[in-house]
Amino acid sequence: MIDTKVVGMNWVEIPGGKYELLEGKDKKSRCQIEVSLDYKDLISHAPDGDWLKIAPLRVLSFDIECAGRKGIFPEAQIDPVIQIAAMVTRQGETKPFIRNVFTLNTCAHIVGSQVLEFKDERQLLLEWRGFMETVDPDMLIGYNIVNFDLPYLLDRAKALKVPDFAYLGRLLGVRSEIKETHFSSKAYGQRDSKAVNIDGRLQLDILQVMQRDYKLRSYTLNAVCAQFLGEQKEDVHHSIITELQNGTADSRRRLAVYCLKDAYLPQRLMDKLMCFVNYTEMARVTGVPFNYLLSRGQQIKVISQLYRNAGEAGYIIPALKSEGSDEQYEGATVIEPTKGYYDVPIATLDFASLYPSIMMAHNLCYTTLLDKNTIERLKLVEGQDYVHTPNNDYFATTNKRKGLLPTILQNLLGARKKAKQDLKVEKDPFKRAVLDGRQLALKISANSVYGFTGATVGKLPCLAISSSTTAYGRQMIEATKQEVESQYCITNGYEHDAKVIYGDTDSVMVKFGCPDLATAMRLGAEAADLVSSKFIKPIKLEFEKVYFPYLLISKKRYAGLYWTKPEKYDKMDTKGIETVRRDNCRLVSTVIETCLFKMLIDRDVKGAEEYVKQTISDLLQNKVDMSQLVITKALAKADYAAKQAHVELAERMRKRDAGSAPSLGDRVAYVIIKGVKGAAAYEKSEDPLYVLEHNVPIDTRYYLENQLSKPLMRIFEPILGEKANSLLAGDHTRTIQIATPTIGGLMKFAVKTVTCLGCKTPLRSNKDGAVCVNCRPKLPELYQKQVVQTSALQIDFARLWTQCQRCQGSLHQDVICTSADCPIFYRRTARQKEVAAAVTQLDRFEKEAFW
Amino acid sequence: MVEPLPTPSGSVSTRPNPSYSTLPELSKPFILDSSSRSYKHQYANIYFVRLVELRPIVEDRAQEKWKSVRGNPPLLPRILNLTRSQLCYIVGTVYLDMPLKPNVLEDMARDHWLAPPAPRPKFYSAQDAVHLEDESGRVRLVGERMKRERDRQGGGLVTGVIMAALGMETSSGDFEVIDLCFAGLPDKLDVQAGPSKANGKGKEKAKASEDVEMTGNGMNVQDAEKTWVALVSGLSVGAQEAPADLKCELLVEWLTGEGGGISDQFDGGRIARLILAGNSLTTPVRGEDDKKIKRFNNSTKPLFANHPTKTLSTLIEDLLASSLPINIIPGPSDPAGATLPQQALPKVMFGSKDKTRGLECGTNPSWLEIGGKSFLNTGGQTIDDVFKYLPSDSRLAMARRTLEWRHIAPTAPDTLWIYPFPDADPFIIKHRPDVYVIGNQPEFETAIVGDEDSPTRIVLLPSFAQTGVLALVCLETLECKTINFEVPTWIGDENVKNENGDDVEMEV
Repeated sequence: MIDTKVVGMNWVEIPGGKYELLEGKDKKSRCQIEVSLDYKDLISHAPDGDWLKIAPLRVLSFDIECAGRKGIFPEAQIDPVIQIAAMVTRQGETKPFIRNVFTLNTCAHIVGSQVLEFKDERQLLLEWRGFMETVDPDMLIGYNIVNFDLPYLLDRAKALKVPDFAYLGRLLGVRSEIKETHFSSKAYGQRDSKAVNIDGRLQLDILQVMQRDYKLRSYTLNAVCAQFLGEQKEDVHHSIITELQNGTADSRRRLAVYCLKDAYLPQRLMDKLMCFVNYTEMARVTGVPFNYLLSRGQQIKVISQLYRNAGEAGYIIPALKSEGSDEQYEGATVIEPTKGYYDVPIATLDFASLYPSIMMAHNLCYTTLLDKNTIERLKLVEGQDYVHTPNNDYFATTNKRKGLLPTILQNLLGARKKAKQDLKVEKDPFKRAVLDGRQLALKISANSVYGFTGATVGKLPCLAISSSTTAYGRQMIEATKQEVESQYCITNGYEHDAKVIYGDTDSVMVKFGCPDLATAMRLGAEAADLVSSKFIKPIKLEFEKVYFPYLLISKKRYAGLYWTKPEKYDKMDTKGIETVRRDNCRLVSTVIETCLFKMLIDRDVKGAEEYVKQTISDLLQNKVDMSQLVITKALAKADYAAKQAHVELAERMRKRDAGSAPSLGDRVAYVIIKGVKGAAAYEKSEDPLYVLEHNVPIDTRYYLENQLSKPLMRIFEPILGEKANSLLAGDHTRTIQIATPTIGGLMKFAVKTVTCLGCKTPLRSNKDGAVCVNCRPKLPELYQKQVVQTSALQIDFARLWTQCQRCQGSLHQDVICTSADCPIFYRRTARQKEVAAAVTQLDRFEKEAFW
Repeated sequence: MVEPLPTPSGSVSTRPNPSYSTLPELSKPFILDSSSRSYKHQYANIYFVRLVELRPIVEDRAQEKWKSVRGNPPLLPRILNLTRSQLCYIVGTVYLDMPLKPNVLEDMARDHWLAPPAPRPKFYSAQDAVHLEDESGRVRLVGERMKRERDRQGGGLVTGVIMAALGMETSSGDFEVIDLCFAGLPDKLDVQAGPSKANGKGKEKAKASEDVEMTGNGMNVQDAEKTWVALVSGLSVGAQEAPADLKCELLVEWLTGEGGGISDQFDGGRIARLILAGNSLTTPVRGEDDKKIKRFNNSTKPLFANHPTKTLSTLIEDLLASSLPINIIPGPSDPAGATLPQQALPKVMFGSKDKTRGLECGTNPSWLEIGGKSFLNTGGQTIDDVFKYLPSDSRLAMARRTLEWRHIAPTAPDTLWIYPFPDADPFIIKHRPDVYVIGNQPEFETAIVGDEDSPTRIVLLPSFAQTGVLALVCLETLECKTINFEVPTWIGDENVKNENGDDVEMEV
């Protein structure tokens, strides 16, 4: 690829007369057209102008369903594949032109989709492979296909002894095999995964895209859809799947509809998030094949470019055996934050592409690295022929030799600039998307070059480069701070002393002291220009935004209202604050978000305090909705070393009912309940549905102390200081309410008594009635109160259940969705009980003899 | 049919005393028995029952309507089995996919700190998609006919209606509609025969009532001998403005015969019964101290004022004392829960047993029989909800359409909140009433629907507190007129303005 200058997702031209068409038995593949030519005759077109377009690839989006057994995650050796749904779309079109579903056993007709019924599972698999060959898709997409669907299909085919199934690719005679791969990347973490080779067809697993590019609470298809498509997805638990399969043609149809939807959603997600376009551009920019983008890390992209440029410049790159070393180097500097809540505009000055700029400015490269001996030997002059970096390394200047990395970076940043310019004038929305994807890809690539040189387990580590880069970076941040603080001070005729309150890696936050936005913005822009002028080109300090107000909590944790123009704020920006952490319950992010909103947008700190107190009071009185308290964790492996709440719970649930208990790979949802005194946290986890069913009291203290308190303290301490603690204790925490469980030790001996609805006195004489003698005058009032409560519950009940009815797309069938990720799920169950109880209480009023 | 008692002409009038029944067979389904009440059921059951009950009726009518269409299109029993380009008709439940329809998920996902946007008066939009669904599946309805139906004056469709559609499946899997067919007006309830035998038609009944001129042009029945039922909605006792309470006083005086002189154009004494159709009380204003952290449960300040119930009790007591029987049906602002059918207000609320003799608390909706005429009374939520999802503004047309759809509340449970009946849909109109009362509407409207010999009087009642309108329906002739009560700006003006003879006739 490098020799022919072909990059990933590139257009190539096969000049007329230079090739030979292969047909019949000469063909080595299942491609529609197969030609043979000398690779030197191939013309590669750089992706510009007309060659910018994206080929109308045929995209096959698919999903499989398998019939698992109760309580066990499906295993390919035993559990059959019962349905495969597929959608085929031409890239760039909005509607699929093929929608079909292969089903085992009969299935009722589905409007707008083709249903193919099979008696035999082998037949089904073989026919599906045939379908794949006929449709000949260029790309396969789906949700978790790489780690589940594809391997499962192949394993199942093997188990059923259908060897022909494995010929999924375009090369004749090449079988698709499953390989276990281990993926380790600094940027994306470690991950074990599977890889299936399907030659000639690209694979894009939307789950992997999500995990790479977005930080989410949950990566289930349901959660992702709620996030990006704004809709909830019906979730059928896999224990129900088998039931539906064993039912009638209609129940199998229901399953098929569900399966089709799951096959369509990855396609919609891909279109909506423009993954394909962005990844195509990334492949073009870095020159790597498309499949590498998901299966490999960042390094391969840099290497690819390095090879390309080295080839041109006539360098040879040594093939180093990568050996892990623990050598550490000093990273970026952080100017110690001056914590607090700032009610004045804080200007933010950013270095544009700091590390790439440094490398370019100082010509840092493998090819320009010098040592003392060389300098002496060649009698080089400091400052003119070479530079001495703050890290005590020496690099030749551009006068002597222009480095490879700076050239690469220059190309990347130049291309980005151009892409951004083109983007401004481009009208066609599709081309705009491509260009935007490109500039993003270029930015990421430029930044990863630095990381590449510092990756000690990488292909070509060169710590001299990376540590020199960060050293320069540190120097510059410090220099900026000094420059700004010395220039903008009262002695120089400014109204206030400017102060740098925080600085991190490539940005500094400056408090100019002026109370209005416009001045802050003007000063910010001025300062940026002033500082830029003191640095070597192309290093540039840019003024981008103002935070006003700004809440600085600690290193890498802050929140503020983000302004780029003085008229209206753009958004609320938060960094490092618990809003997406997955092991928190939803209540935490709700409370934190609302508090920040009240503080930053409404500028109502008092209101935020009130809100927190109200929420805590509600929590202690059991008034918070259960779905806000649910914590979810994936049940990854069977035996953890330490006891964990969700593992213990899964075990307990299995003992209760093996069928509905979560199995390996499932996400376990739980709440923390009041346990015996001194019980460990893991013993106090309980299934939310069980809690609702039996009125088990929730350990509200746990939620207050272990979930809410720390994040709350963090955001309130900079504002309230010592007083912050008053949020967690005080009057509002003194009223508590605990549910009366229907199960458990002591409840066997408890006697239930009807109490007065007015004053909670046990009713002795008037057992059927509503109130005691003393509360009788208040009857109408109490009645009204009860009615208001009941009405609210009734409406909630009705709205929740009709929503589920709508969501599942059928009015005449019962809702079977059990999506625990859906905010409705627990609430609707809770309301069933609550509304019945409330109505019963209301009945008691009618039994009063007179009012 | 019971003839109204002849009234001795004289200065002292005696109230007519026509027959009265709550039509238990029809009213019972609306009463939720506390022993069998359960919220464990889902709403699918209601749709299922509705389709099962109304499908044969719609099928018969569709068969009748389309038998002359060329090719004699067949009925396709399952929507799933549609085959491309074959002309046929299908029967199912309408489902409207409306982007603007309030969605609880959106409400919950919306940043909780932002105040919810003001509710819209209407939720329809150009992006609405109509689907027809049966137990097997659903299909989208498209075509010129659907557009016409939407734009037609008084037309349009709402979720939950059972109908038939004639047309064929297109290549994209949609159903191109040529014509639509609904259940149509049901037969009139034969009060004497009882609902079970009502199918035997009202032929004899038409004879029996020959002496009663229906449309009120002729005056077979002497004015003085006519028996009237008074309909009032939205007394809103306890509203903040004093004039509303004053108006109620005037109403009571007039009904008890104290108001006006003997020469008053209309004799309040000829009124046999008063129906309070919803919103007799106002939505309580909640006391403000709820937010504060309470130390003891017994707060001294009441959360809800006691007095509206008391005022209403006195009012009712006064009326009962003049031997005027009263029916109370709850409405949206009455303390009777938020889901339909709203259960009857507890009678004890208005006083002890002996004090409230003559007072009947009914459900919303509920059936009544007075003097041989059947009444179907609702608090108005049904039409209010349908109104939000139709482009049209004519509530009268909508009320009429609910009769044609044979369903009081088609939008329930989708957007109108109801109790999850496990095995019934009590809102299906199996029998057409003589009088169909819809409470709490913005203005008074009335119309006659149905054949000349079996008409139904539709009455839309406005809020009394706001308009001072009382409607009267004549039991003998079904004629309808209004009386306006106004509180003058200065004392001494004539209190009661009578609009006698202003028989508002509007054909829908």
